[in-house]
Amino acid sequence: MSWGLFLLISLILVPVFETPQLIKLRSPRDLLVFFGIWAVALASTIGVMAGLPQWRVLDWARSFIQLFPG
Amino acid sequence: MKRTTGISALQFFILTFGLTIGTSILVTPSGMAHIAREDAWIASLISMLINLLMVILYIALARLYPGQTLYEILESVTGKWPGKLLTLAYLFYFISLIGTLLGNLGFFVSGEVMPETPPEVVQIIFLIAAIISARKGIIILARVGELFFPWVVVLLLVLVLALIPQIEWNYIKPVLEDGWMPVLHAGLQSSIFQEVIVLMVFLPLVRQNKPRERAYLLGIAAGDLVLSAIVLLSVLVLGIEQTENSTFPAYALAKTINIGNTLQRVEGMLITIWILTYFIKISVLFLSMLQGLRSIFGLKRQNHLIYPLSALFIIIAWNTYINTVYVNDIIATVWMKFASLFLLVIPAILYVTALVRVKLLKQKRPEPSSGSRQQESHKTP
Repeated sequence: MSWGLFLLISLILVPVFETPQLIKLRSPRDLLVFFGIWAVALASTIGVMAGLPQWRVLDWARSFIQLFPG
Repeated sequence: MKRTTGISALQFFILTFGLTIGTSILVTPSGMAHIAREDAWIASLISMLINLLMVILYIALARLYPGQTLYEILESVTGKWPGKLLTLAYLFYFISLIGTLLGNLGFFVSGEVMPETPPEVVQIIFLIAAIISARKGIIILARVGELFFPWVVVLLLVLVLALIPQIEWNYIKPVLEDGWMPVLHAGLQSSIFQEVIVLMVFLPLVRQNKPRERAYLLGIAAGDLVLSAIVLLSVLVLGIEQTENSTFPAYALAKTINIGNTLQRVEGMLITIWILTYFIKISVLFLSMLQGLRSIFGLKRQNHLIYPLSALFIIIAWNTYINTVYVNDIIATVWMKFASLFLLVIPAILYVTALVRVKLLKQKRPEPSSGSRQQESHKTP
């Protein structure tokens, strides 16, 4: 089974349920942050499905630590 | 019906205990035996001492800014924008942890317990439980912890008592053959895997000062004592070679239980303990992530972020826990320095700065702005 596809479908459904509540909340900031994180998640999922280079947070941590030798 | 707006000291103790044991119970003995050999049990006690010192540092910091969460303290001490930047760094640390923990879960369950089940299924099912927990909030999680706790204690007792007949005392001899250095190294490395700083996000929710500090200290002490017991039993029952070479020595340890051919194959007990405490750990991390995002962006609510964040967690898990060799390499070369930055270096610098500002410069401490009150609003009756 393609787990990326499962994740993609789930993610596409999320705004359908969350946007009406966010509009009721009348907070543009909440709306912006939600769609920002949602867009990052969606892009990452599409990236997984397309086999693109992905979030390797441990490699980022390694790169950061290598900035401080010793 | 009485409404509760905080968590009790006992609930906080259980959360600390669960956070300390979660995942570490399975993997800690191997790393310790690799470095400290027969003295792994001494190393685990040293790890407990280091963790207690860390918690004392966190408590001292929290006392300087009473009623404030970790993120609020970061902003109060360093200023608004540097504080937000540091919060973002902590969120990166927490998201790395969640990704690695989820990856580890899939790897363990698919590799050892249910080999025909894909790791993704295990991770998704567990993430659904964490989503429910995140939607309900920390107060409900604390209550769930209270329900879990007696089971965890009983199962731990059964596990420990059932292993006693198989102890071989010669396995821990000679004591301190290579001196204190490997023991201290193993102790320090192991202490970095107890990310108890995350509980500073929820510390203000416990109303009384003294009991919450006691709960914080006792929670880490009790959790570390359990880990020490598991490390000691791993060495005493499995011996050094098997403890060192197993990926999950505690699981191998539970598999050895056989009392009169009647009580055997009880490794399910260890899995239950692990799953229950792991659930607490991942839920606490999830909630602290949400709280951090709310703090950075000044959001009114946080629940709408749960689903997109969950998708990110699972993607990070898929790309983080690629294989054991990669993760072990990162743990050996990077993780100690990286995690100690968040667990020791930043809190120590914050404490010194806060001490100078509050005690010497007599600067007024800002009132708790949002975090604790926001958390209180994030609850159910």
